[in-house]
Amino acid sequence: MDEKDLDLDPRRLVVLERNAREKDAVRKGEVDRAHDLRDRRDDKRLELSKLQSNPITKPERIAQALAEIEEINGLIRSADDETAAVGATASNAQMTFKRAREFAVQMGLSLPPEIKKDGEFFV
Amino acid sequence: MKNPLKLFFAERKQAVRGSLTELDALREAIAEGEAKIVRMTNASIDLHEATDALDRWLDDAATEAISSLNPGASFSSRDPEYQCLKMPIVRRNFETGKGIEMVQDTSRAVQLLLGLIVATSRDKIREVVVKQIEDFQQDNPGLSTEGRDQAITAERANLFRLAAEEELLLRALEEASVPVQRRPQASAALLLATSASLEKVIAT
Repeated sequence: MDEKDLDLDPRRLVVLERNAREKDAVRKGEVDRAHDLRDRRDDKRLELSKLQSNPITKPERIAQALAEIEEINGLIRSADDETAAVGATASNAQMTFKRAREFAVQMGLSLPPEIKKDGEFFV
Repeated sequence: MKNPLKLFFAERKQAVRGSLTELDALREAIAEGEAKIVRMTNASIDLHEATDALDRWLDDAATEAISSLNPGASFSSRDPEYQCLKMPIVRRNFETGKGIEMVQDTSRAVQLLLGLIVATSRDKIREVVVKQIEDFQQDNPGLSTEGRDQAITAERANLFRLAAEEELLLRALEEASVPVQRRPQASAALLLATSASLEKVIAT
């Protein structure tokens, strides 16, 4: 058996497109999460500099703020790693859908209406 | 009593881990199959075909030398000047960086001389070269062209089955919301194939 013997179902494109969209949403979510963490870290830094410029601040407060910043840095690093991982999965899903769509066009299959119109193509 | 929800998640985790291990094994088998095809494509021909090639070359070299030097006509000539074997050594103008130099081109003469040696000592030369081919083939076993083509076709069919199995497994993992990636070089037809037809491929 080879490729010619396969029964092709253009509806598979709908599944692949949905999959690509979902993975892209996950990627965006991760990017947003890393962004939020950076905002939180900036706020903490601001707070720290205020504490440091105040002569009556207790050293423990400064140490605590520094520890909090370090903790957020750790979260940012893992969020960045996660962004890279889900980014790879998302672009792979997009590429897979594109490849399948090109193949469907090349084989002259009638594309499902959900993905047929050019303007509505996800990728 | 164990928490049933905890048990469910533990079982699910186990199942996903099993599927991912299976996916790794499939991809390893696919990579190995592809490497096997490359090895078979580049493999040398077998001893039988190699000695056939040698025999062809020996025949051609001897025939070419004899027909080119044409000794029958040369020695039958009434003119003593032609009663010899004359090697074709030609002078050529050769462009060098410093200008034009005259060189003697002996390449054809050497080829014909080799052919003449083959015509007179074919069996001895053949014996020596066949021994060399045998030694080489002992370390680098070759494949007959027909055998190689059959083996490549069989391996391609095997790869197609493995790829169908991979695609079905990827679909199952995706349905279980496990993030997976497809190989970019995998056939696009598999992406659009119905699961039933993929099952059929695997069953063959």
